[in-house]
Amino acid sequence: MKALGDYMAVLQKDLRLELRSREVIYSILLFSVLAVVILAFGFTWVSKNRNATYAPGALWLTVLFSATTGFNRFFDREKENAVFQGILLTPVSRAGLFLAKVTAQLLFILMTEVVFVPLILMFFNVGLALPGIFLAELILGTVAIVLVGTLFAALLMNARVRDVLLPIIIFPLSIPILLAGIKVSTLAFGAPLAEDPMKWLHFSAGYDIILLILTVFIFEKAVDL
Amino acid sequence: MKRWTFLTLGVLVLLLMPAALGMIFFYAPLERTMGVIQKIFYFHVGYAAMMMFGFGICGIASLVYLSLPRAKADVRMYADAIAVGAAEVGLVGGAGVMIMGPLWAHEAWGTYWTWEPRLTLSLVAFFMFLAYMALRSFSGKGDYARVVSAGLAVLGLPALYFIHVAVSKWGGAHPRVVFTGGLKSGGMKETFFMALGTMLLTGVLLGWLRAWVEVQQVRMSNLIMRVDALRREVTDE
Amino acid sequence: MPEVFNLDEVGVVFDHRYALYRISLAFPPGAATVVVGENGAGKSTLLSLLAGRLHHHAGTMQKNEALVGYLGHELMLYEDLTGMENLAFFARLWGRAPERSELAEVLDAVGLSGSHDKVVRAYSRGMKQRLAVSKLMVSNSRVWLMDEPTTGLDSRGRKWLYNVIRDAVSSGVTVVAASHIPAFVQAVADRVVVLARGRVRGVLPRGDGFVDQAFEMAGEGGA
Repeated sequence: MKALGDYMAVLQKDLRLELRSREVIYSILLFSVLAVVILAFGFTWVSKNRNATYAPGALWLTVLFSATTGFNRFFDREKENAVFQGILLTPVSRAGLFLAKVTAQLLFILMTEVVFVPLILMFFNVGLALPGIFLAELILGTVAIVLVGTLFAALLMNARVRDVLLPIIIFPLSIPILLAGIKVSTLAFGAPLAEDPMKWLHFSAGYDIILLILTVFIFEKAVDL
Repeated sequence: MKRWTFLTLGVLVLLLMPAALGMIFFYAPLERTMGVIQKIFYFHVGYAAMMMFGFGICGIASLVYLSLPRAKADVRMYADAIAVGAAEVGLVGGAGVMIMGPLWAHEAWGTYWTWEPRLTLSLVAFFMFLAYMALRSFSGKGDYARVVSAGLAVLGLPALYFIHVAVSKWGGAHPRVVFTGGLKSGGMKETFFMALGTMLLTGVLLGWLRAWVEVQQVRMSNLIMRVDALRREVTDE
Repeated sequence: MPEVFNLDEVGVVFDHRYALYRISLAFPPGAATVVVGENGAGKSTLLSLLAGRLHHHAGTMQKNEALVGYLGHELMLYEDLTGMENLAFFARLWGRAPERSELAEVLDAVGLSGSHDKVVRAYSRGMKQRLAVSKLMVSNSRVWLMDEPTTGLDSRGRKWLYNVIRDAVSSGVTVVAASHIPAFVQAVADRVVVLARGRVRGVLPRGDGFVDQAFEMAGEGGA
């Protein structure tokens, strides 16, 4: 049960650090709120009656872009003093370490979503017809983005052009989740689509599980090269 | 032995290429509604096949590379070389698809771009392997860069499969590509398979060449290591 | 008891060149080995290799101890955690769950009493180095690899460090340290490994004038 202990240790450490500086949450939050406002302005200023059509896309673009801005910030603190190297030189469980970083980042992004998702509902003037399904998809989608983002942010921590590399890696790998997310949100915002939202939830959960297995595998292979 | 297989393949491609071109432009009849534009299709399918095979092989070779222990350096070297070769051939195919797809779409459906399942999938796959190549070129030369980019290729496979399920299977009613009907006219079918076969063989040839270059690079750096060792043997003490 | 590390004709390559070449060394348990050599001789590379941060490209390396502690050039500390929090965190990763009082004792012992609950960012360089050393003390590793451990320490700090290392060695810890300071070698070394241009120039046991001899050898190798 070393893995669980290490998981808790790293998670507690990350939450404590974030509580102290709040820089990851603040940077994601600020970016996402601005993004929501700009997207709302761009989409609904002229064509005022198509809000429900644009809201799902605006939502998922905000999730994707704001999460991406957070990953590098999150790993900056592991870069200083090469402390991530220091962690890897202890007999820490690699899977525990990776999943703790994933959990922490997931919590930070979900916290910002608590703020900017209602803003989207407000600015785009849409209601939630299926709140439960909407929430489930939001979480499943965020998990997928965080798994991919955390893996490559960790592995490319010391790459010179990581600011460029990270988005071009995360965006294509997030397309399945964008597809599902946009479908489910469209349904959840009350648009008449002849589709079963549960199908898309299963789809997202399946993608999450496969990503979970593969990202842990790749992380272990890469750090103990 | 391997050299002869390679050379035979090269000669075969050199012979097939003009033959396929000749068949496309002089043997296959003009399609009734689309006219000469329809001939794009003989190239287009070949490029698409190159792309999908390339990315698939890259993903599988990368998985092999990641799964093998460090001690199996030789097999790992080949797996990695095959992954690079396949990825670059896939990118060439992808570029072809991305240029010809919109041209075809414009003639067939009256618009340059549509989120047609195949186009969507091709576009995402293309970007994914652009990222793969960027990762390989920007994150250094060593084993670490290889492992990280192999990781991306491995993740690419399920991502593409999920996108395929989402857009092709559940995508609803999308325009069917017209070629299934068009192939019935005499001479088109032969031309189609000739073109496809030629393109795939060309892909194998190019991928092989690229993989060989990669292997030679590894061998060359091993050789430089040997030279450094010998130099030290002579100059030290 | 078997040797902690056993290197046979080991080579490590950086950028096509051998940073370490045909290194054959054995590290007996419970002894302090100090590696000396000029800049670029391969001291840090050797320690990184032993720590498992690097792979060797030639020869064979045997490692008979699973848990190896490493103190490198980088501090490997969280600047925004307190000394106490850093220490508790790393102890947990080593699979230990020490009481707060035990950690407090360690912090007092390394001369950080009164700074337990200050964030590391507020520490001086010397205090950070002391904290980095204390990370080894709370780990349950019986092998300490120390790369230039005197970095940032004043003369009092160095004397303290010598005592820490000698105490550890007498309690059975195997120490491998890299240093370019004769006083350090004089104070802690049971034996000296002299590296020059990536090769072992010689291994000297502790004895009369062994320090001067070692540094003389190290200097010749670079010429």
